[in-house]
Amino acid sequence: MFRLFHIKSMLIFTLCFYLFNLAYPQTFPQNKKKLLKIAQSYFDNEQFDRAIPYFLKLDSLEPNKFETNYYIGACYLNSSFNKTKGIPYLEFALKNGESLLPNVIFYDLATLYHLNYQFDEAIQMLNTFIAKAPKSEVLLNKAESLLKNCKNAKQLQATASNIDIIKLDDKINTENSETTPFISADENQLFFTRTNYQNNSGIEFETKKEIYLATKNTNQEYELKKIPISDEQIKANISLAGISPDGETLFFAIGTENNADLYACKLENGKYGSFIKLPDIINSQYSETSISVSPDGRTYYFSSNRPGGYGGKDLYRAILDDKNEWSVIENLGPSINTEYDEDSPFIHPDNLTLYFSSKGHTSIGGYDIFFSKNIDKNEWEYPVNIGFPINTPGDDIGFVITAEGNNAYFASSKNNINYKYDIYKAILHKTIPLTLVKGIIRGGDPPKPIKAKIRVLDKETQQIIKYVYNPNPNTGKYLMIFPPNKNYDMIIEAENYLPQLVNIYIPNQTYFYELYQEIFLKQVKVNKNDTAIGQEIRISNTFYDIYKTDITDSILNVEQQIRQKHVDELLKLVENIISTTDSISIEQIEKTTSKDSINDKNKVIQNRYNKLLDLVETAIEKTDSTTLQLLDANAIYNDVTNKVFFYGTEPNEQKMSKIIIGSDTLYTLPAINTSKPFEIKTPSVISIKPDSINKPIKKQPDFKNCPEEKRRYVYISYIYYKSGQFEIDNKYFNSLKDIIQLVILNPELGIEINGFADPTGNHEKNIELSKKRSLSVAEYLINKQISPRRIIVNGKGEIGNEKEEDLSQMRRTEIKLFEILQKDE
Amino acid sequence: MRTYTIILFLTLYSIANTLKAQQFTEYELKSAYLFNFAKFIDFPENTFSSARDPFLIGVIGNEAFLDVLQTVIKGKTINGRNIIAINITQTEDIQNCQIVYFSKTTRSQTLMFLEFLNGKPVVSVGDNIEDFCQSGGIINFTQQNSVKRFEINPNAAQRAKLNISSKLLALARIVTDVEVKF
Repeated sequence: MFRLFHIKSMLIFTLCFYLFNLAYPQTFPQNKKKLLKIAQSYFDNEQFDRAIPYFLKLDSLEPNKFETNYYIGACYLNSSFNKTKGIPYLEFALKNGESLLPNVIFYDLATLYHLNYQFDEAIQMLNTFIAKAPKSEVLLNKAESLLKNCKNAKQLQATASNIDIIKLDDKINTENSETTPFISADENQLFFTRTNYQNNSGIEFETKKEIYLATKNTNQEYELKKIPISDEQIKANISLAGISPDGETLFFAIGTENNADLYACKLENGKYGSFIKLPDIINSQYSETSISVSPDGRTYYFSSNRPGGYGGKDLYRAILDDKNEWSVIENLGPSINTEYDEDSPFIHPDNLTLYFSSKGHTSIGGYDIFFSKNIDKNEWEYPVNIGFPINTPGDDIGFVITAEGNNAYFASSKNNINYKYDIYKAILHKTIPLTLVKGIIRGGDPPKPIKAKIRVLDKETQQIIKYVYNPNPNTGKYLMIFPPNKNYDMIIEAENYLPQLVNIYIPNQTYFYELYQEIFLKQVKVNKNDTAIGQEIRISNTFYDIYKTDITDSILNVEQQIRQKHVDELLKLVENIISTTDSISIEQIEKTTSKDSINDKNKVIQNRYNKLLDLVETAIEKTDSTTLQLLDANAIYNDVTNKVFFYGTEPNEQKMSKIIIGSDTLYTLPAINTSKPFEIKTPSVISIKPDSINKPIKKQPDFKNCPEEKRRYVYISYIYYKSGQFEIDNKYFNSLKDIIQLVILNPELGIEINGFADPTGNHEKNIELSKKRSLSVAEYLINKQISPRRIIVNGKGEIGNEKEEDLSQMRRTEIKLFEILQKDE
Repeated sequence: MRTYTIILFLTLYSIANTLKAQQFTEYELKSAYLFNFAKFIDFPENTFSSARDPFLIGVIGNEAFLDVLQTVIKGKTINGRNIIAINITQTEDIQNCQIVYFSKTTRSQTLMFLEFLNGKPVVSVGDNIEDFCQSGGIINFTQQNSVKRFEINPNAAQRAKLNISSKLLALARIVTDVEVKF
């Protein structure tokens, strides 16, 4: 049997080593017997790495001997590296000497197949092994659990996801073992433990553990700093166990493998303070090695091998109550804990998802990383294996993930055997599909970029969307990144404008979208020199489904490569933006997007247009209406939403809607909805409409029957008369022209015209005169293309009394513009 | 009969294939139409005073469209003339235009400009404007997914001494409203 066991006698071992070292490694004895003797003595001393060259030499001198092949395979299997190199040798040995070799070869080969991701072959070998092995076989249990691993792996393989695994650079990963990565929220700091080994005559011994802080410098490279630990006693047996959510406190496990306790160590003035042992409710006389604290600082998740669990290491939690006393200590239960080991809990900042490592559940080998969602209190969903390519047949442990869930760090033994680990970063591409909104905000007449603040809320959760970058005041350009299939409230606070609330819907999508958004704000004035009576907002959204337009574009397939490059760049850019937690300036983004691709892009665009022009020309030339219809059906129609809000003549906040953003309460103009975006049609679903011209589908407001209390006045203007007259004086024509312009532009406005007379003269005559006055104004408006249905005319007779001095103020017509209040206002 | 259906289906299918996911924006597409209108309409001989005069397209009411149009026609020529698009705010700006595009104009604006253009050798094109051709406009885009993509008023074209290609006419819905009144 070729397993690794205890070193028998140090003395003999050292002696042998000394003797054979003289011959090692350059010269091989040519004598086969001698060669075999040396090789076998290395082999017997479990110096497999050293035995390999001798066996290989032997194999070259005397090829195709299955025994030699078996030895070589066994050496590789037990070596620290290149285990899977043993596969062909063991295969050869099995093929040529099955009956003469011990059964364990099936198990050994299965182990290697498993490591080499050849799960089908591994399963076959294990089945043979289990069938042939006697009940007393000690490896039977192991074989059965390996069989389970292989079957799990096969199932998971089918669902492998698009995840990039990056091995951190060689400043962090050395030939020693690096484990327990913990990151600060911005990922700029990485803490980890390094276990050092010493190679003593082919056998490696663990020497000491060191705790490091790696900080990213401006070039995004890690710079390493050792966290100094003065106490020699502690130094020997310390490893990193966790980090507090604020990154200010580190947790350490100190002690031997069988009795380690958790300690906290606070960072004060840039230095780490003294070690404070966590309370006895957490630390038992058994071993506690890893810990994770919930974002509210109340729940501590930790691993412990104390008795009373489900077997091996289990996960527990302890909860602090309102009085800051430990109230609950509980095992996380059978959903999480198995008879095998569970370790390295990590509670996600969402306080719902628990990541941990387990050798049980659906592990594909060794520790695998799982996650489980909290259902209620201490109830947990069945853990999900995080799958390929994060989990490997080896150990994968110590998984930590950033708040937005795109980047994760973990330690993996991969093919680095003998439990030496390296630290890897996984990019989960979770945040794609996303919609990238590039926008520009302008205001005034003529439009100019304006200074504004944009905030976006997820309508459902009322959470602030993180990746919203405020407009650059010089260019008006802004940028937002959204998860799709959601409704959002966008709050625009522009200087000199009332806050505006816009509802936007980001459609569900499987691809990466780009949305171009233009926002235009304008103060509505009757006359340029007047004060504003309202505010206009115009939003136009244009969606591009980048993949669909660019990749399947068969006519333009020449450009595919360039366009693909553009998409890739964009995706990378978004990723960069997301991985930078602090806000970045729009100029940088502009630079990044335009730097390399601008020439390519221009060429592509020009090419595209040439094709379009040709296509239309050819279609007309051939009077080919089908092509034109198809082009038309696939055109993206700009979605423009436009709305004017009138302040009203009575200033109040009645029309403003209240919105709460985090700790701010804000009053904005009522929400405007942008319509749902364009849906891409395939030619088979074009619905051809009869020829038609856009007719306003909106029901026209019924101004005439609008009761007075439903009228919301937005503007009032007066015309005054000489005694007894009703003709409009020339001097009013200019202001009337402005009113007409406003009414034409705003179909939701009605006009109320009230004529009045002064109190002199008789009542009948005054009624008559006031009617004539209002009618003459109405007639003027109707002549200037204002529809009569929008005008309400009243003759109100005399007002005031004769004793008042200024009668000229009473001889007047009021022109009042109003909108109809909706039911709910 | 059956063969016929299949052949028709095949033709449709092949076109569908070439046009698969060919996505342009509304503005890009309309710009392409405007450019081709210029190609398929003959202007009277004295339209240009010199050989170096550019072909001018004026846009009323929609600056966003103007931006797109300018990119689409960049570097293009019509009968050897450079083609230029400009913004129009008042009737005087129209002077040297060959095509005037109305988009998002108000009713009164539309009527005012159409009245000014009546009889002049200028192609007025409306962007899906109600009663555009009935009010004396020459070409008007219809709604998306209409059978005919645009409508033409040949009488108005005649008054303007413009000769519209029969191919364009074949693709258009003809508006034969002679009672254009001003």
